[in-house]
Amino acid sequence: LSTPAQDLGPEWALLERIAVDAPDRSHPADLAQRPGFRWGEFVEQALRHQMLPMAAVELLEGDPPIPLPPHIRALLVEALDVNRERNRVLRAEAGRLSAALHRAGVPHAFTKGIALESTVYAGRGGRLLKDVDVMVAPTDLSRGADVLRSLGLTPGDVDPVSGRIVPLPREHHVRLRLHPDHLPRHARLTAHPVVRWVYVDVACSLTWHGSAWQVPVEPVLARALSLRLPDGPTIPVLAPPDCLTFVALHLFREAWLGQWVELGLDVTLAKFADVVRLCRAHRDALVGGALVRLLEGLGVVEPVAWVFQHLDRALSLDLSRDLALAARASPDFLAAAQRSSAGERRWDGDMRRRLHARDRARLFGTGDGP
Amino acid sequence: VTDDALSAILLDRLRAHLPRLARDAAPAEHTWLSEAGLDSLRVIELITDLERSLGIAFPDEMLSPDTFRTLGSLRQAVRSLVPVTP
Repeated sequence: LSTPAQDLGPEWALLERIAVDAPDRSHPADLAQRPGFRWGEFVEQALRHQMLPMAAVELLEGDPPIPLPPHIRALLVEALDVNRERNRVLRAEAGRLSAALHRAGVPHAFTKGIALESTVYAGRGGRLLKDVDVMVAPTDLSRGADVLRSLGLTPGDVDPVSGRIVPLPREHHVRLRLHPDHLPRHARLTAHPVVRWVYVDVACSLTWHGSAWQVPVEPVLARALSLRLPDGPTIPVLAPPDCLTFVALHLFREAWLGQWVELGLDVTLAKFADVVRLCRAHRDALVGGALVRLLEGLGVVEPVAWVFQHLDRALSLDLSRDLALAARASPDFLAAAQRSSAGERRWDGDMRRRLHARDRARLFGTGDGP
Repeated sequence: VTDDALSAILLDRLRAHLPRLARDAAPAEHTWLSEAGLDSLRVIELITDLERSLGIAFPDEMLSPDTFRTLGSLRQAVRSLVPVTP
């Protein structure tokens, strides 16, 4: 591992250090104690990248302890406490949902944060969860909706001020009718004083509807493994190579489809942190061509290589070589953003600067120029 | 609304979302909207815009790629939702 450049400031370097979680890099204390370190900048970027609890684990519970300004320590303690409690509530919701899906005979597997926080994040509360993500086969989407209804979940968003579930915008309904790769987001109000609602997202695609890269969901679900969560319930999760494939494809979707940038939902550093941790936790099952053979069989080498090559360049890693994915995405493809009838959007291909930037839309052009 | 007025509104909204169509004074019915720039994001914006402009709601069975394939298919769908006077 090489030390990443600090030209974007010690605050960004610290966030990258936390994302990579590599003990052989600069100790977080060395970065946090730089003269003039701007805690406001660090906290704002951590929030933007959904990494405040991850930062809290590293800065509060690292060894040796890191001296922190009292108000920053208090903020991090509270963020970590709330996140741990939210994760506990969402784990219980996942257990309830899994039991109901089993009773209904719907094959399923939990994905993303709910499957990662107690495994590759070791259940320390560092992985921020916003919802419970579960995958079913496209033919089971309707039965999945029935199960959600039976558990008191309804399609909608929660208005955090009134605490009521409000209908989803018309655009959301239209999008799902045209691109039926998941159910509308479902919500349920709880009696919990802090975690006042839960969201559940049911997907039926590892990529997206209409994508050039399609992965049959049923075989992936058939390979799912059982995971016993810290609080007791056991849920099915994707097998490690499938899990990494999905996490990478999901990152690719958020980073490559230009619409997410326009919606202000561009890819975050936390998503890259998921990929790094998955690779580290399951290295033996992925190296030596094991992952790339799976990807070749699924026809998704190019988008996954896109993710790893950007990851390596942004965070000074060398995972592409370890996984035999080096140079599998062309420089031209790396700087592409979205192919559509309106033309391909392009950017300069510098993922590190893209992640750091606040106004991402300005990084993108149309046609041939960056 | 008359058929002419409906056509004018439809073309006006299409041109607002598809700049390439703005250069065509009288686009043919068989014009492929995807070739005029209607992508997966713009189609959603177009649908909600048409619904607001015309006071209609596309029923679920019309929310399919077939409806938005050509100018003619979209015109036919909109006509079926808006009472047209001779």
